[in-house]
Amino acid sequence: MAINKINSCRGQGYACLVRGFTAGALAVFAGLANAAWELNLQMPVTALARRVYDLHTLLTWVIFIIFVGVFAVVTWSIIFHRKSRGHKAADFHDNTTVEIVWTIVPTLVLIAIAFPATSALVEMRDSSQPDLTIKATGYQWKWGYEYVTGDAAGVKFMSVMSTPREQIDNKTPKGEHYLLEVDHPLVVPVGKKVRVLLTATDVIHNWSVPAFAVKTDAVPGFLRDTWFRAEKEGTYRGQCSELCGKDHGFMPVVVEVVSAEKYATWVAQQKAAMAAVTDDPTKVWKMDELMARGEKVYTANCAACHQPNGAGLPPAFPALDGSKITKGPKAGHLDIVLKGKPGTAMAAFGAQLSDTDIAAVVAYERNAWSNKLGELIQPAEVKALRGK
Amino acid sequence: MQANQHAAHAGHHAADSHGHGPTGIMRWITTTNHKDIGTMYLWFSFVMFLVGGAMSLVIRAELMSPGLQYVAPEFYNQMLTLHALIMVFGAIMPAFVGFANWMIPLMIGAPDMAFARMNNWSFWLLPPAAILLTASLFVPGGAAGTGWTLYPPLSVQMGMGMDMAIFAVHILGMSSI
Ligand SMILES: [Cu+2]
Repeated sequence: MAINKINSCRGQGYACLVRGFTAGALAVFAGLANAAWELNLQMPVTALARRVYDLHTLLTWVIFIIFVGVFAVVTWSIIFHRKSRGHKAADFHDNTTVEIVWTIVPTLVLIAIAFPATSALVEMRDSSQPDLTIKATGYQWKWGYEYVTGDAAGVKFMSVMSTPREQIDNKTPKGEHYLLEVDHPLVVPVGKKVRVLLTATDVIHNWSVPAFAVKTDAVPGFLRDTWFRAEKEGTYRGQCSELCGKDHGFMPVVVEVVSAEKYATWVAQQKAAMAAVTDDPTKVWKMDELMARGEKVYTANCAACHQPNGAGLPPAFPALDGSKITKGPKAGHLDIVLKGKPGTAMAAFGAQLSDTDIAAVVAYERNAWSNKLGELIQPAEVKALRGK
Repeated sequence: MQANQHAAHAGHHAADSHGHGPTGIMRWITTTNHKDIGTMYLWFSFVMFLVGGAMSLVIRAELMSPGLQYVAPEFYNQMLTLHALIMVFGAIMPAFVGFANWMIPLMIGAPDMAFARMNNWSFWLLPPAAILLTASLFVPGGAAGTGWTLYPPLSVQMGMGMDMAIFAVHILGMSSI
């Protein structure tokens, strides 16, 4: 492992040698330890991430050298210039030479580290001329992806953590990618410049993939962007990196970098699947169909807050079992699901879910647990309410 | 008017002739002695250090191994937030002020701090703020669970614990002026 890291330096200059040296030093640990002992940044897989990695290593060495220099002088002074050894304190006042030196040296050090740092930052911000653009939307607590340009334009899906609840509750052993796995990862082609547009619907989230050196806030009401060009196929994992509420730790980012051929196959599959699942909006659903579909939608979108048994986590997340809204008029219930409730964590699901999904989930909430209202809700009713 | 002045003068005179200051709790509430105030700051800071430290023990105990062990995620966030606010505004800053109160008049040879009564007030703003912060744990919805930055719009999703935290931070800020 460490040998590979050192060999990969060919023709990449001084900074990379430094990186190799650090990696070599860490290899001492690698022999005895596992992933829990990884001390450095993740191995970079984009040119930009390599720059960030090298910059970090360089700065760590600069800091280390200054630290050793300063504390060497301090320690030496303490030991050899103490009163008990008969040292007399100097009594001069003002020394222009020293003052000039201690102004100029830090200035030079600052300029020397600001130059590479700023140029890396400028490169990081240059998201122009991407090969494809993807919009990532942060929700409490999942990511939504939509391919805006490129072959996959129009493909969109939700990316929800797939680690089973039992692992989180310590009832079953943790999997290899515990808390870092999702049902639908973001899939991108290798070697292509991918621009990621970022926004959020509820609170501030942060889309972060350490191997790409990408970490950008997703702020509701704003559109920000970042980019990466992955050089190696593989699966790269990150996490939401801006505290966004109770399940902040449970909304990972997973990016699969695949070959151009695999990407083309994936795009074709996605388009076919999207065409297949489009529901007939005029279909009239029966109760058992609605309940089955509604339970699925509920588990994926509602259960994190309102809980699988509908009891909620009051007062932040009210109960749906026996609540005024679920037992009240249909229109009011549909309205809150479609448009959300401002000032609370209740999101507007109108933009996230289809008419059929909303009809099914509302019907489910009105008929599950003790809410046996026996009411059917059809997609057409949801459609009629949307405009209002 | 004249009567008032006379009364005030009489009161003043009476206090002067009293010889020693109030005793018991009033000795501490009314003190203008920089060493007394410094001591109160240091004790307050120490108590807050223990409270904030206990919260960090909760955080560390939960993080000792992966998975949920002792607390729910939302309570973990509340511990995180209160730990940060209490340690910064309740422990570290008052500790510095406590040392400064004790040491600076001695170091510069002044008889006391300037504005000695304001100095006393600065301290006595702290306990209500600390009570607000810690009591916010017990209100419906719990304390603020946003991290110490209290970023909106997440802060808007919190219950009244958030309002108490905001008020507490304002009082703490006023105290440090
Ligand atoms: Cu998030």
